[in-house]
Amino acid sequence: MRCMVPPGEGAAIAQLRRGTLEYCVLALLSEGERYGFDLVRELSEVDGMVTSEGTIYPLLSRLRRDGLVTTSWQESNSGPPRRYYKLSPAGEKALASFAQEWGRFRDAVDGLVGKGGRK
Amino acid sequence: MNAQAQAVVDGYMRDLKRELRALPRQRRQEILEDIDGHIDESLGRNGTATEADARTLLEQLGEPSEIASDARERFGIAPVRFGAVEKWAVFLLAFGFWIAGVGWLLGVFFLWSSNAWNRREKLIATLSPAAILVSFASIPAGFLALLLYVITVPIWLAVIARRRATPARG
Repeated sequence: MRCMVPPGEGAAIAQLRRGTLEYCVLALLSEGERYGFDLVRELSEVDGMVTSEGTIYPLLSRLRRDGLVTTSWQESNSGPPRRYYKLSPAGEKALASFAQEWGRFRDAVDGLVGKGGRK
Repeated sequence: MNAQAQAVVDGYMRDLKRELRALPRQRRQEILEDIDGHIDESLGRNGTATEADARTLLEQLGEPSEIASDARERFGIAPVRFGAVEKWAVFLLAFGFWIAGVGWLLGVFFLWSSNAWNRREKLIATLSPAAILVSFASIPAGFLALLLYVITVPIWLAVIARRRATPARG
């Protein structure tokens, strides 16, 4: 068993980031299929989203195992073939239902924390 | 990239491969391929990439142990420990025969309740005594084979579990 330290606000944000990262990946893929490297670069450009870029690859592998994304090898004109990730119909569904829940959750948190912060 | 940079990258990939050993083979392969591709994309085609460039890139990727522990969490794989259950399993498989055989059965129970060994290893440790008894109908040969079993199999299991165990992290 792993010992859990009671999370402070830093840990709470880290948990939140970790939990939502997979939906951010799905959201990026909903704009079109992407090569892993480009996906990582795009996510890294968003401030505060990813701390260790390498952790995105296990996440992609798990999304693939769960059938939320599919992959295909595509030739590249500058090097070896690349693995592209594409949103599957199941992934689209998961993303849509998360987006809806997230909207409600965000409004709820804003309603409570927003009020507290303005004191 | 130059030779020093290549050496740094090779060391990193070796560590990553070892750290990811708890993952199913196919998943581990995928992750290693993707990260290798990522490094290649950033440094590979840059003939002048130096050791410092390689270190900066690997730092952005994160420590192999960090990537691996994140991966285990994503896949819901509990970290392997060489803890009480594993030690009891090894001890009872080695000495349980002399506790009226019941000890050995208890050892088998601990063996199967641990995640330190895979199904194949558990089957070998569980079924080989039966195979020994069947194939050596004569008493002395069967006894010798059993003796060989209680010496080798528990040591083999202990070595595997210790190698797989991940050091506790804060």
